[in-house]
Amino acid sequence: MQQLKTLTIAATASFAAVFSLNAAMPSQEEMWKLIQEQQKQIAELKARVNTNQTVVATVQTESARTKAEAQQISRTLSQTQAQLDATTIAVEEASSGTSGGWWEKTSVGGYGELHANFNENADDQIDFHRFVLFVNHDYNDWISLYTELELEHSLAGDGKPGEVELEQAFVRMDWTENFSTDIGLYLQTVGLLNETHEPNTFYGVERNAVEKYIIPTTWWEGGIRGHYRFANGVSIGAGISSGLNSQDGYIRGGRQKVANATFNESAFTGNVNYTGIAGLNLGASVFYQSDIDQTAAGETSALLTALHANYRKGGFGLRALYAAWNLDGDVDAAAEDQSGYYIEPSYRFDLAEDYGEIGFFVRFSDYNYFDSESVAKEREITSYGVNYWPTENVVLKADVQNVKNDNDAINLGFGYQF
Amino acid sequence: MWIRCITVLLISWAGTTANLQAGESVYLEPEQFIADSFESEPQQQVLWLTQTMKAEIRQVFGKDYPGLRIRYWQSGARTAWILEEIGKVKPITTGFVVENHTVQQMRVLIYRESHGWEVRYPFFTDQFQGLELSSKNRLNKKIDGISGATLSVNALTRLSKLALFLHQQVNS
Repeated sequence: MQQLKTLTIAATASFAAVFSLNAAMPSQEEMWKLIQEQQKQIAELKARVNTNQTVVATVQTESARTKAEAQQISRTLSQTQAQLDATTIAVEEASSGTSGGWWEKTSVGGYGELHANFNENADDQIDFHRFVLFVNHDYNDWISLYTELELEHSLAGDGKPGEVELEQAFVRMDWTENFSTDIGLYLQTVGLLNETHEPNTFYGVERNAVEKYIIPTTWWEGGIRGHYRFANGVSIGAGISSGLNSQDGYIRGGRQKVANATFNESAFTGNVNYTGIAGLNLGASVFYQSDIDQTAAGETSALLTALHANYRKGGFGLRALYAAWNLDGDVDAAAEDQSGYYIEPSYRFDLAEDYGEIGFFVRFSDYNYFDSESVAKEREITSYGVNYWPTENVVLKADVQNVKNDNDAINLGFGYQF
Repeated sequence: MWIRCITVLLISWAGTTANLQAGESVYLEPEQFIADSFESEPQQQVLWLTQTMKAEIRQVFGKDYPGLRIRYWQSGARTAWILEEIGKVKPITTGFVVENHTVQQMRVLIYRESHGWEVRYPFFTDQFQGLELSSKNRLNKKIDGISGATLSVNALTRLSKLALFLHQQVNS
């Protein structure tokens, strides 16, 4: 039975093999048909390849054209950008005025102050104390002109209370980054107020009495001076100039203001300042004139020494100054030594946004001087008050002055700078 | 006679030490400032001052800033600006480097005023490092001034606010 099964299986497999072999061999007709179908497929594929090649060629052509167009657009864009740059520069230069005229190197500025003084035992007064104009001009990168013209007390002329004064007219030459010279009419480098006295830069309606009568601010002379600035914040200066003309020892009255000034005797000044710490200014000045009498009849030498400190840190400020004259010669003994000092702490802080700043100060001043009537005077003044700056260049002021040996006063003031 | 001699000697000494190069008040060329501010100098870019931008600048700066555009240089979060503002009567050219909305460096490049020469030195300019602008357009610290040059110091303070604001605009 087993053998029969095996034989049956073997016969079946052989028969299937023979049949398969016979089935794998197509007829000639079938092969021809198959070849024709394959040729047809090949033809179709060839056609498709040709089509694709045409498309590729077209795309390449388009790509080349697109690339050329892109390059052209890029060139046009660069040209347009250059034109835009040139136009913008031209517009900016036109609006900023860079045509090279003299007016483009000339600047105008100024300051002014109105005072109202309410005096004890004296008339109250209102006065536009100072109207000042600066006109400065740059000749080139290292030579500049500085001028300052002032009208005091509104009206000048015969019988009028005011004066028109030339306070500065000098040429500065910056020989190097650190060294410069001034020649002409200039403010003396002495004290704190003499060179910087715009109303928004100091407390109090009136300038402090120590610098007014002792320095004597505002004080200018004609001459030449040099400044040298060190990188550590030290600066030094020295000059030769016209000087005071005083036969009676009244220092403030000895200012000639370079107005047909007697120049029989020159004067020498020297100063040193340290500003190497932000907010700090320490300084010392000397002035010497061998004869402030400037006449053949008398001879009086004069030496001024002045020390000052000005410090501001955040809202806190402190100013202090000491100045002393020593006169020696044909002068009243009471005039030989004239001196004074003041100290002024203050505090300043921002108001609400966009409303500016407000500051409060107290100043104690003590000084003695020889006045225009040849009288020796001693004064102690305690001042306290407030400054309000709605913007940095405008100030409103109010202060009270308690004056020992003289009339007290309440002062209101308004000042500006531009 | 001897006074005239001293005067002549003073002028002669000044002449022998003269360095008559144009731009003696140019402390640092603007191009050099830009080169020093980056490891490799980026391309200059331009910020156009549109009407909207001008109005916002007015709020921050306190006044209009002149010109149609402002040039700046940027690399990553670091920008550099060269800005100008009038001190007392003359413009001060200043360079600012701002990174991550904080002033990294301030340099006075060209100074033209008669007072305030101290503004070029580190004892003054170092104060500007670390300045930031609050949401109310105020600086996070006060700048201590220079006696006799208050207006110049105020101008530099305004410029620092402007630089911080412009940095915000190009990094927003």
